[in-house]
Amino acid sequence: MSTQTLPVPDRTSIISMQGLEKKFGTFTALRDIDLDVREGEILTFLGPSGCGKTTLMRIIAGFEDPTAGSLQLRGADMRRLPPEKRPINMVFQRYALFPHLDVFDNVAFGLRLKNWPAARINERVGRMLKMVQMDTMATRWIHELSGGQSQRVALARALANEPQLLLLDEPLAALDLKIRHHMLSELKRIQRETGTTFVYVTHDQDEAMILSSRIVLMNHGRIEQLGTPDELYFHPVSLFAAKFLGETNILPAEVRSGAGDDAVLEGLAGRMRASHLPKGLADGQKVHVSIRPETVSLSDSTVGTAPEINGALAEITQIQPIGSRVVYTARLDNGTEMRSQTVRPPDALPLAMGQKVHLKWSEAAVAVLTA
Amino acid sequence: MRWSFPSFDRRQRSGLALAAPTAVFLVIFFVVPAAVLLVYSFWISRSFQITPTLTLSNYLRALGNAGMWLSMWNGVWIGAWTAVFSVALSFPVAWYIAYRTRSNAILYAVLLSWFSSYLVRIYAWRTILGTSGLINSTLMQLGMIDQPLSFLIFSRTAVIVTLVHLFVPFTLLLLLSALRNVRTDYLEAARDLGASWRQSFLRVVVPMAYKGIVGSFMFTFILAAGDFISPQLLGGREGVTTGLLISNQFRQTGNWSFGAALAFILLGVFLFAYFLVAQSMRLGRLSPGLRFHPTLPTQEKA
Repeated sequence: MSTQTLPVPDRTSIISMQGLEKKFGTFTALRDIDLDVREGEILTFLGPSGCGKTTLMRIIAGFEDPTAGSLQLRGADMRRLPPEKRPINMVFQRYALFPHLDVFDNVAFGLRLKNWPAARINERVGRMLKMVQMDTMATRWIHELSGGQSQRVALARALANEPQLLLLDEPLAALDLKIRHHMLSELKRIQRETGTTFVYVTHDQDEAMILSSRIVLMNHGRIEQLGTPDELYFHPVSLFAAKFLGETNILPAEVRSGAGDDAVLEGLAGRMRASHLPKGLADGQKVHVSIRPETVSLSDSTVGTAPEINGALAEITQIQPIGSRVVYTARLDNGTEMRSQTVRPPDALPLAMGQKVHLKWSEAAVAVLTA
Repeated sequence: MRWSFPSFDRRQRSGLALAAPTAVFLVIFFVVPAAVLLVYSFWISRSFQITPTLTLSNYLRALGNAGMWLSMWNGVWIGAWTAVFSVALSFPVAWYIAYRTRSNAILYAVLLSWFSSYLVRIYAWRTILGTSGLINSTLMQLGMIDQPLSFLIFSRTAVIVTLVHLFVPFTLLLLLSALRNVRTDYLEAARDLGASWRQSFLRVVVPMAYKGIVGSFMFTFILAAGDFISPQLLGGREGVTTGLLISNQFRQTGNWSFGAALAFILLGVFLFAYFLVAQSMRLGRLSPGLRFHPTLPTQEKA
């Protein structure tokens, strides 16, 4: 399995959270958060709205106080430190660029508060604006900027203070799709250039997959799963994780023939083997399996024989070309539907509606979900 | 050929149509009367009769008169303190309503005082501040004073207290709408970048709410400094303001030309006050739209 994630240069953690909890009145927004933010990584808080990712980020910034648990910055308690004293800066969702100042003075805002001499401010602001490619717009007023330009200025303003940690709160949510993809690669470049640790909050799985060293998948105020994008995509630990990231076929199954490495799963798509099994599976245990559509291959059933394991005989009920891909839906004899996705060939599609096909997938493609 | 506006597009035409009624109203009921008054101020009038003779005598008479300057000072004093107290008292309330509570109960409670008439409120304050009024009688009963506090009524203090009560709802509304534009994330951004509460207030809140702060201050200042009812009923000997003199010229003495000259002098004083306020805000770096860096050569048009 190929790993496309960024190398993590240093394993020491900047921020360390243990047993963190946040309650708003009777509502528990966060519970049992144990998390380390490592030096130099891009850590993404991913989850649906209301999952607590923004609250967690605001706790790190200092805008919210946790109701329980510890929050440490390089080993020192951070809970008493007000936001202005934390070596952390933030890019706000709606940028929050000061409209009464021009681009230059926005970026210089934090430096002036430190009483830097003018020459040093000029040098730093110039360097930051160059980095985000806004050096020709230093004298523009904020209302004269486009969304993408505002985004760059907000980034320069936060990074000008050389924070140990940069928080980004859904920074691309307000941009249109094309600029969003461009800004993603820009963010990655800037992170490489500065070496700053990024904590990135988003509900967009694509952004998270493209950008992150590690992803913290959150749900209902808890950490659902923590891992690299590949780990989350190929080895989801729960139904929620499997469904949240990417398309997948979810099938109920039962553990059979031993609980060791050679366990066989029996379910609606026949018998299966999985190369990665969660620990502690018991005979007869009810689980779910997740099989990504792009790992399911289709072939004409008149050729060869149906596979006995990790495969099934089915009939094509839907063919859906989506740009460069084509998604087939196939119905098994017992009525179960599974989707298969392939690259779309330049000529006619090889399979037709109603055609009988053999479905096949590898052991590595089967993720067993116990939760 | 069909008649049309060749030089206006649809948008501009609808803009004209929307602005026209107000513009016409202002021209008929403000610009024209003001122009007439300006002409009057250079003429001579006596006992409600106006003689069209071009003269500066009204202005010279007003500016050469010590009592005139005193009344001007009285009005400016009352106006300035009323404005300072109105803004200072309503700012925390506006802050509370804008950032700390979701309910508008306080706003409505303050606005409720508008439901009573101006005169009723003046007389209410007379019964509170008077020699045998609420404050004096309470203090005397408690034995804290032997004689009624005389500065409470028929003084500039009494006028200022009443006018502050009158104008606080205005300043509150103006400041509140100004603060509503300063979203919380601006305050958080300022703190995130290292600003203390005081710094984020001075460098972000005040410049962003500049129009509301300066607007409500000037609005209160002008109306309070030009008022002639409260000073008349509550000001006693200290209640002679230019506003009162102007009203006397028009209603009693009948010297409209002199009254008009006084009105334009007062207008000049107000403009000067606005200039002073705006300039000191600028010098204090509290105005929006200032650049704090040497302006770089503009390259964006390259």
